[in-house]
Amino acid sequence: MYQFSLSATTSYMDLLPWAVVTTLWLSVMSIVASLFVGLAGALFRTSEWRVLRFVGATYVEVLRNIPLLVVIYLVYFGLAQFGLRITGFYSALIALTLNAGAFMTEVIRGGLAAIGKGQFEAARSQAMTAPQIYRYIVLPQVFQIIYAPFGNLCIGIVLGSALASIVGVEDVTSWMHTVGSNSFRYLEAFLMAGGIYLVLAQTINLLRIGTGRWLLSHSPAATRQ
Amino acid sequence: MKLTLNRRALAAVAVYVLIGGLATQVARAQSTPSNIMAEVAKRGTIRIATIVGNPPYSSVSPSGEPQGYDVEIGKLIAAALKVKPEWVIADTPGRITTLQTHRADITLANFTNTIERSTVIAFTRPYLIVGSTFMVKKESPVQSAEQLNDAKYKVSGPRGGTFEPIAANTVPKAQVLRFDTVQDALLALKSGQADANLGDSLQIAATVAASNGAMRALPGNWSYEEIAVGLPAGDADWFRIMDAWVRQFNGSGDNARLFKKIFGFDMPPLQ
Repeated sequence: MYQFSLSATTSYMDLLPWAVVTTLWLSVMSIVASLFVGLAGALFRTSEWRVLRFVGATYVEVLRNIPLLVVIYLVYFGLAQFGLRITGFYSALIALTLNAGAFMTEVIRGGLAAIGKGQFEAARSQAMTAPQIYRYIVLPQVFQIIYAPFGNLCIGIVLGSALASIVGVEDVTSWMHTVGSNSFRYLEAFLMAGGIYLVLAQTINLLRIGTGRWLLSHSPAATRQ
Repeated sequence: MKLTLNRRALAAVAVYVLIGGLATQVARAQSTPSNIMAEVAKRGTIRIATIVGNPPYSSVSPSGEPQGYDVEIGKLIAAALKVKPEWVIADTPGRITTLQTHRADITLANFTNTIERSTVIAFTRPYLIVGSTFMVKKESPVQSAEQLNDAKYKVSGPRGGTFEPIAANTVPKAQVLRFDTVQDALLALKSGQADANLGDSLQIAATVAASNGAMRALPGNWSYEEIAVGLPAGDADWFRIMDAWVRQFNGSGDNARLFKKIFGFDMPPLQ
């Protein structure tokens, strides 16, 4: 009969730090990259030029409606068939970024839509250039608006990174499978991995809150409220 | 403020109750003495764990039905017990978990009996003996396993199978890429992400035969694996019934005929 024993996983602990670092590194890089992709996507979607709006909308609708798993397969196996051999880690990074970037685009676009047109007109009347308007007026406010949904996306990316193990990335999920298959302690391995993801997602969430507080306390818009 | 605290306390209690309930369920599931044959007869179905993406052993047909050598064996076992087969799709490591947690009555999934696995689950006598071979693309410069033992080569195989220790022993210097299914490991070779694939010798023979010369197997066999029916540990009657079925399946020649039909070549001797 099965006897629950967490201590059975202890002999695999030496493999765990690297697995955690891999998951964390993959998640953080995807979050940062998807933020830039999302910003570009949102500017495309709100552009005055129809072509850019079309490109932005197409990107969002295509990537938002394809499962992340399929995108990972496409980048890893699909591109390799054309001779482009991207390693498992970078394939997962690209796929996560493309996927999260689409959601990020919509979140940031929502934030941009909440800024009244009057503010743009007022800023232009002060002879501010477009980059200045975005840097000093628009983005600080957008950042405040999207702060909470951005947190959800960050957690989604950490949890989504678990799919990287399907293309051979040695992350926490891969560690979980290794422990399970070598020790036959699957229940314990699953619980351990679940706990680790919980801690990782919360760590990234706390990092977001900390960075957000710091940024808000240094933002010109913060004095407004 | 007081309300918030109360809500938090309530949430904490709810979480503890949930975890406690779950733990009790797990403990109960683990300690119930099993009489699998009686349960199977009462249910009218035998729950068979298998993996997908592992042709010609087991895969999913375009219409969504499981198919392959192991699946045909499962249908025959169900027919012999006069019940219906009910498929439980698992992944490579899940072949053991499903038995440990009594989510399946047997596992039929190109499942090798190893000493380590035998400490946690039971196996019948083997119905097939296979080995392990390396497969490369036709144009690959690699001609032998020794040549493959180089850090510049990547070898793919399924995670949680017997592949990992064999790769570690035969090509310790090569980079090992581990995938969730046999099919993904094969795809890694076909797409060019891996330089070689290490797998079941009969499966590789079937893949090479079906590739029209695009793939070839490297000489040499690197393991002796007894493919058997996996069973939950601790039910002697269930073992007796399943083992008797396998004995007759082998002895009657039904096994050899089924194998030939599915793989397209003669079944190797059960020695």
